Amino acid sequence: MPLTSTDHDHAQVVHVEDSRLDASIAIQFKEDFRNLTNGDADVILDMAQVEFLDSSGLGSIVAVYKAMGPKRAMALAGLQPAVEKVMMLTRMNTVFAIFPTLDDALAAAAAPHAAE
Amino acid sequence: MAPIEHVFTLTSEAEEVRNTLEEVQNCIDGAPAFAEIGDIAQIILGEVLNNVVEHAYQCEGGHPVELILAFADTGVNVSVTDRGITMPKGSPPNGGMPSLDEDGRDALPEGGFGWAMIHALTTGLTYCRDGDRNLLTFSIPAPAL
Repeated sequence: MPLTSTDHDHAQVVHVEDSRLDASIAIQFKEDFRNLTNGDADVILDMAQVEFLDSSGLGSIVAVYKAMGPKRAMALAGLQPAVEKVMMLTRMNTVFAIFPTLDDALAAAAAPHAAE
Repeated sequence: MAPIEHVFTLTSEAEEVRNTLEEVQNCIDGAPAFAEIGDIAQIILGEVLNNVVEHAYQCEGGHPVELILAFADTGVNVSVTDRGITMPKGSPPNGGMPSLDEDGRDALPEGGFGWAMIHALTTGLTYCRDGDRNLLTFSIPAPAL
């Protein structure tokens, strides 16, 4: 299984446990992601282990984001240089909030709730 | 300097593509002047080789693919040869980057990024059908050289 999940106060974190998110695991990624995130929490996708993302992998991230419905946010964390390059090139960095580390993403997820 | 050529042969399977990309990375790691284009080369060659497997050979394994990298002063000159079906319309897709400007999450594109990235990151892309072979050539420019 290429994905694991951990619950936090203000978001669910899905960790990609593979060095590549590419054509060979894109379909499995979509299935596993949907099974893990069938609640209503916002999601942070932890990509710290992913060294390589191709267009199929990118398409699968967009697909699961759309399948989450219009009200749940998804942020990306821990992008390595080659992955960040794909995000910039395709302008997907304008669609997803991107954070250098998972801690940064968790802090941002907690921030809107700080006044509660 | 005279171009240094590296020839990689593989068969049309995702696992073979993965292994070849690793070999390419090792090859680039051994040429320090090209280290900066390693990530870009992985992205481009991943897309190109996956296209051969999925489209030219329609996901049928066991067919030959040849990749040649020639390291030159201006960058890496690449040629990819396969014996699969010809490209639709006899040429590669135009490959403009899919638009993200439509309103709403449901309108986001899930595909079309592969050729767009190939076009954006390469120069001198040519395709020809030679008998029963597809031949794709292009360069990965090395701005730092």
